[in-house]
Amino acid sequence: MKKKVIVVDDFENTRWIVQQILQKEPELDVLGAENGVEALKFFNGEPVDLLITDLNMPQMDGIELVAKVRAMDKYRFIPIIMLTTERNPEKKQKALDIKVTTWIQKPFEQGQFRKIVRKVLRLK
Amino acid sequence: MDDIKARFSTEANELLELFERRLLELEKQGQSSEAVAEIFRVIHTIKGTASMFGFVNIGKLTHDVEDIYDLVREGHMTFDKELMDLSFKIVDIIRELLKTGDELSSDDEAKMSAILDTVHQRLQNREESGHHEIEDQNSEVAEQKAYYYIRYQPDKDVLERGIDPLVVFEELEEEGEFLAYLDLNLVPSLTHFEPDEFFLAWDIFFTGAANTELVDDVFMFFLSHEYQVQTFTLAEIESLPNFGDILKKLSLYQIDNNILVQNLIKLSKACDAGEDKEEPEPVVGESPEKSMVADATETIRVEASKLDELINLVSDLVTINGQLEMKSEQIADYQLEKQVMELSKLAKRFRDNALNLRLVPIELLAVKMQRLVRDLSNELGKKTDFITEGTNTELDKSIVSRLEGPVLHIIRNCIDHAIETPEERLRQNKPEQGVVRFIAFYSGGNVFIQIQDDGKGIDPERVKNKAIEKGLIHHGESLTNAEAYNLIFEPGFSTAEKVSNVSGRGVGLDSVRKEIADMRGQVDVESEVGLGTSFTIKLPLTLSIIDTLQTTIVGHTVLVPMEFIIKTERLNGGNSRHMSFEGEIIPIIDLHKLLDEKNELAKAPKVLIIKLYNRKYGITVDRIVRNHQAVVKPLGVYNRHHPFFSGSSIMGDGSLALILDINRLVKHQKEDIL
Amino acid sequence: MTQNDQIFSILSFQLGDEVFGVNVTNVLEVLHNKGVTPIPRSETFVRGIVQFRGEIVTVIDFSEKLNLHNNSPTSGKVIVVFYVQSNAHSFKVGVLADDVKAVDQIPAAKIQPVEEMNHYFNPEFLKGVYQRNSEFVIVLDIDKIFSEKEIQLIKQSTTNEKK
Repeated sequence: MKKKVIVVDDFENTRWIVQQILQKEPELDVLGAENGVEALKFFNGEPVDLLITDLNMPQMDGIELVAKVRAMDKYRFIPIIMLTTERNPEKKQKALDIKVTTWIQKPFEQGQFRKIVRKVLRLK
Repeated sequence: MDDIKARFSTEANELLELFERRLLELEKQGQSSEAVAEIFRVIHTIKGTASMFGFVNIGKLTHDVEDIYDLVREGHMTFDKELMDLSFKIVDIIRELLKTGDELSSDDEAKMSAILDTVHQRLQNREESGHHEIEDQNSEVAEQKAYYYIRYQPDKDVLERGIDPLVVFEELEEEGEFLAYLDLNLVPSLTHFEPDEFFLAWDIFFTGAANTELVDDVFMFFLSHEYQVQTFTLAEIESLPNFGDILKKLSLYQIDNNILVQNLIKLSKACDAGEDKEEPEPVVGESPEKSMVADATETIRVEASKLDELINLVSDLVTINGQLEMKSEQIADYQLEKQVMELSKLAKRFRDNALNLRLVPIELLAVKMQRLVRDLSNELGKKTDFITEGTNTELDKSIVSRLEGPVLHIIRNCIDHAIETPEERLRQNKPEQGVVRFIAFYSGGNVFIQIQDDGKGIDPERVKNKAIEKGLIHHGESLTNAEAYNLIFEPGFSTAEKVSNVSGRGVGLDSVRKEIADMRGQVDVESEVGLGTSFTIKLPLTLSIIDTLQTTIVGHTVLVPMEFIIKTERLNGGNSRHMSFEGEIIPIIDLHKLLDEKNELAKAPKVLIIKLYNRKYGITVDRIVRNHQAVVKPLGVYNRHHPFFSGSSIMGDGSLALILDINRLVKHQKEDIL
Repeated sequence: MTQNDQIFSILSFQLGDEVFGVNVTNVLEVLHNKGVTPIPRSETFVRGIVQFRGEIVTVIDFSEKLNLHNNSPTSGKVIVVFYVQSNAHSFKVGVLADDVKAVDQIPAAKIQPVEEMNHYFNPEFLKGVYQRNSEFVIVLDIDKIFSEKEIQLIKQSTTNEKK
């Protein structure tokens, strides 16, 4: 069965790039969402295997989204990757405090990005 | 913590079963380098992971034992009888330790040190014949080798970050060789224990990676304070900054400086040898049809509890569907009825599919049976061949696990009481080697299991005499042979004249029959003096749904399992105790009286004729309502041992009905009369 | 927090002439009794079974179970469903009552040990007693009443009965 990945970023180009990179992985289905509110809708349907989300977004930011997802019984232990342009170490620490699996600095290098996603999802 | 141990136990038990299977194969068919290689690999894997999961004693044991199998694998030692016996003992002790969570009873401790003594003896003999120069050479090289010491201590919230902390071990294994020792010091007392929090830490020694970057990569998702890496060579091991602390922690595993260095040398040897990495998924199972199946179908592992949950949901669906059917009948709308019927069909198919998921092949019992035959025959000086047929027959998982006790009991009986000694067999012109056969097959909605032996058979006369002696039957009571054989299942009956330490554990065949009956099954026996005995067990495919006949008796709704009913009759003639049925006088079980002391039999217009173990009985009821497919629910803690009801079911209208247990009912009736 | 600062939520209910209280952590739900299906030949205190969330739950009468022979019989209008969990076992069980009265927040210090007084049943099953308006609420120790030991006694008595 394919693994379902949700990519959340208000910037369409970022979503597009992430989807382009991950589409090369045959084991993945990648779905995009513009903000936290849209993203949450995906979590009420078929099971999601990985959430990749931006930190700063209008409506509902990454931190709130992660907290909402983690609060669902089914997704307490889901892997989550946080995308961020933040270089401020204090803010990064905050991302870890809200319990994400790892974070990736934007702009990112394609090979590294794929490697991290594969590793998080335990694809050989 | 227990989750962690359980995780290892499950895996190790599977490996042990493979190990045992290979041993039995080696014993039966002689040398096979493939089998030996697998045996080595199993021990190697268990050794590598046991201490990582906190199984100190298993780690210690397999550590030394591994060397033996390594020598066998290299052709420096032969797999002789002593080693074979030793191997089985090793399996047993590891299993025991897995069960107890690594606690050693004093008994086990004696067993373990006996095993280790033999192992050391063998290894020493080996060394005396001059072999250790090579070791020394190796350690020279190892001195220069680069090692990593990693203190790995994930934060408490690691699980909530979506990380599986155990994955790093899989990756380390891919990159090189490692030793990991679980550190339990951080596990809080029970009162402070939060199930979602993580309290484990490891001291890891790793070699094989070219650079630290690779190690960083393995621990990519962990924060820098969660893993600390130090490189060292053996020559400078003592200069590791916290070496004293490390040794203190390892002392739990009875590892001191010297042993640690020894282990690390072995580690680098294994790494250099480019040691046969484990194949991705060792194919468990041996018989050709089984491995073919394994190749052809893709399988996924599902936790048993998830399946149970699914079955519960399906049961609810069937119940609600029944209620809907009834309502729609009342409403009498053609469209609605048609749709409800479609839904019913779908629900039934769904149910059958879901129940199928829980079916497992009876093969799972094969190794245990084979092992029992082997050990017991050896112990009693008998020769027995064990043959299985139809072990791919599938049964509900819960039935297979509950079947183990009764089946092993019968096999134990066969070898202990039925199979003769080789001398005796030769005297009787029988082949020296006896045969025990285990056959499983489907028939109708049931699974049949036969256990046959070609031993001395059961003498019905002896059984009768014994039964008279024990007061089970009266002198002069006439019994058919079949009836006489049935007596061996009576409580208090045991044909063994002497209590041997094998079968005579104070449990007789009555407990076998009881256990089988609790699974709604039956067990029967046939025998031929001098030729052998055959036990037949009949079981339902599943326990959760049964076909019943819905009846009412003095206001109670009672469901009678369909498989026992042979006919329904009107009650005419006969007295309150007996009736005639097809020219036979059969006993009546007066359910009215059982349910309501004051009730008079005369009011009962209907009788269900049931058959249990070739005996027929009439059961009185007021009214037969309809056929009902019952989803069985337990009666609850206060009625677990009810004399004749063993479950209940939710009916179409939401009311509850009681499920009659024919086995218990007949037993209760007999005891009442006595 | 020391033990006496602890606050218990106690559900009180009327059973015959007595008012009993139980810790709400043990209570799953209070049902209106729409009929209990009797099981012939069970223990005298077992009134039968009901369906609760798709499961079968045994319904018992505390007056019988606790040997309150002087208590007047209960109307059994409601069933308090308990969830009992210990190391040895976990199960749901229903208890008949006339009515549910209230849930009180009671500091542990207010629950006083039951003296020998005039109480006519097994003190082992009692946690204590507290006053609520004009009446006394007897707080029961649900875990003890439904302990493995108690259940074990029943197994024995049914097996003995058979012989």
